[in-house]
Amino acid sequence: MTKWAMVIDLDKCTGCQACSTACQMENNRLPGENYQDVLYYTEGTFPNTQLKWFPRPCMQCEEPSCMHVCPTKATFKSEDGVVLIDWNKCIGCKYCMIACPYGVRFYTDEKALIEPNIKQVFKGSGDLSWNPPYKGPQQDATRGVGIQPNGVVSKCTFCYHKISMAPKGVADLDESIPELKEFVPACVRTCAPKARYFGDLDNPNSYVNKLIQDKSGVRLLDHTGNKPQVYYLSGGGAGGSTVPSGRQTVNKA
Amino acid sequence: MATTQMQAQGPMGTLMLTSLGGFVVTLGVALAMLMSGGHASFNTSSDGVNWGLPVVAYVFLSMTSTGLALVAALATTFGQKEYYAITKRCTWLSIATLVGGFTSLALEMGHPFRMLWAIPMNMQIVSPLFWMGVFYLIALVLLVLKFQKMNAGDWDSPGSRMIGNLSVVAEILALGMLGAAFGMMAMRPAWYGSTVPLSFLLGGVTAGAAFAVLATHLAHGTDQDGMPEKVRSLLQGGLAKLFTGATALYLAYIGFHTLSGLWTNADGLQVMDRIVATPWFWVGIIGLVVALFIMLSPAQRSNGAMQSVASLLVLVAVFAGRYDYIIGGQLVPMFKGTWVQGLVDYAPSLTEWMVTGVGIFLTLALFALGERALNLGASPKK
Repeated sequence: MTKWAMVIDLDKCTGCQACSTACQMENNRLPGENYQDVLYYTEGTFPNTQLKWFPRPCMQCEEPSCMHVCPTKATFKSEDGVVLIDWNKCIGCKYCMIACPYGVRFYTDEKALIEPNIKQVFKGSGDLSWNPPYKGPQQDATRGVGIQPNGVVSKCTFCYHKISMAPKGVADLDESIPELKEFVPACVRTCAPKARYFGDLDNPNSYVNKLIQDKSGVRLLDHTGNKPQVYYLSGGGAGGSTVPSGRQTVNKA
Repeated sequence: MATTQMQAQGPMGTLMLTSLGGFVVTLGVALAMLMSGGHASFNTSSDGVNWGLPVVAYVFLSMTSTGLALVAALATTFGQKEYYAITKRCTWLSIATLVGGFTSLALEMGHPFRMLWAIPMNMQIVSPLFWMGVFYLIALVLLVLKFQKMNAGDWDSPGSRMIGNLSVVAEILALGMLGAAFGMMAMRPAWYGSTVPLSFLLGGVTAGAAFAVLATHLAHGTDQDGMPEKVRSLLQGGLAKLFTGATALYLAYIGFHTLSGLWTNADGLQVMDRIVATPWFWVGIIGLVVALFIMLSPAQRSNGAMQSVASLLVLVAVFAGRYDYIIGGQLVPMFKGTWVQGLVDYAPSLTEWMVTGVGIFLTLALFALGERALNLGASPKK
């Protein structure tokens, strides 16, 4: 059985946010609804500080706490290991947002991050909370793909509308292979320094498995037991990108 | 058992007018805001507080419901017959608070009507919210049945007792699951802990006892000399002791909970510094201390007006405590980088206050209506 996973090489990541932009365009995200984001944060105390960054999609956990708490099974794992949301079942209780250790879920009905409110400019109707003129052809409410209706939670799907169309049995979805590039998640395909890799964890011949093994891939907040399917590679060099040990906020002095 | 009829002497007319007026106004404003701006009229956000003030109101009212059911059960389940004087009222109030709480929650959710079929059709039995819903639904049905029995004069037939016993068990399990819904969240250290359901139960008993005292004074007036003897002796005896003891334990819990949060350096608990710096926190603490002072002083305790003040202070304190716990647990952002600098800033919006008002005013209106139409002061003759 396929188990899709992403590997992000932090030594290559430049924090350029091309992945975030590609995700926004591919999935019609509103400003602030960053399915994929590169988080910036500072470490240390003045004057000994460092700017750090950290690319963060949904971790697509093996044991997703968001799925277990959902009272309607709206959040579920697909057969190929991706955490998806059935918007037709979501009741908007937001418990999944509470239970996600990584903060990667978004509720539809919130104050606009920037003005003008783009939802008011391109008003939605029916099951679309907004209706941009440039939206993609994909729309699958049962898997949380496309533009969400009002009153539900949405999240990164690993570009499920693309990866679910990939040929069966393929070990890696590599954008450098012409016949596979259309099936590669937008953030992986657009990454200029090629810091992202996407493949099948259950296939022993996949390149993602080799990278995790050879470069000692680690997972974010592994102690939570959620077992993310996103792995990070870090040689611990002088670069600005490292796996944070905590949530990177104000700690006690 | 035959029933003794007891007519209310307190300011129920005023309460009914006030609460119905408040309910209509808050519901009108809340619906207008929600229909024009949706939940964007809340100050909640994906980067900050996901569950805002309406959830606090829901939790507060649900806790109070369980506490009231337990006070009612002192007579019907535990054989403390002197509590029969307020059993019917407490049972009705337990229903009213639950209905008020559900209403607040429904207005907070994205698709409350979808919940009615999506939860039973999908049976997600590992979700604490699933079991909370199941137990609260069972509790509500059983409480209504129990009240119906008492209203018909059937106070302690085997069937009536069984329904009463089961309703209390369902209420305890429901509030326990509600506490577990927070306590199981290891990713939010300010919430996490296996004893959280117990702290919810303690808060529930405290709020329930306080509401029982307040409602009895609202129904009979604060002049205890003019009250029926059974009610007066309960307000001076068992109920006063229960209220005082629960308040003291709750104050101790809040104190130790705060101290441990201030003491530890663990990530996620730094929010306790913020909490103790807010007026909400001190309103609660001072309210609890003043209430205890009133209830421990024989001269003050025997004064109905002072008892009412003490119960009101405790209710406000329990509400503030839930606010600090629920909102405080969300103030540490979850991997938001520079999107959120430091702790999250949150203050409830007007719509959130209105939704909270809907739940509270609806509870009070149902209380007043019950007092007017359902003879809540009735008790068995024997």
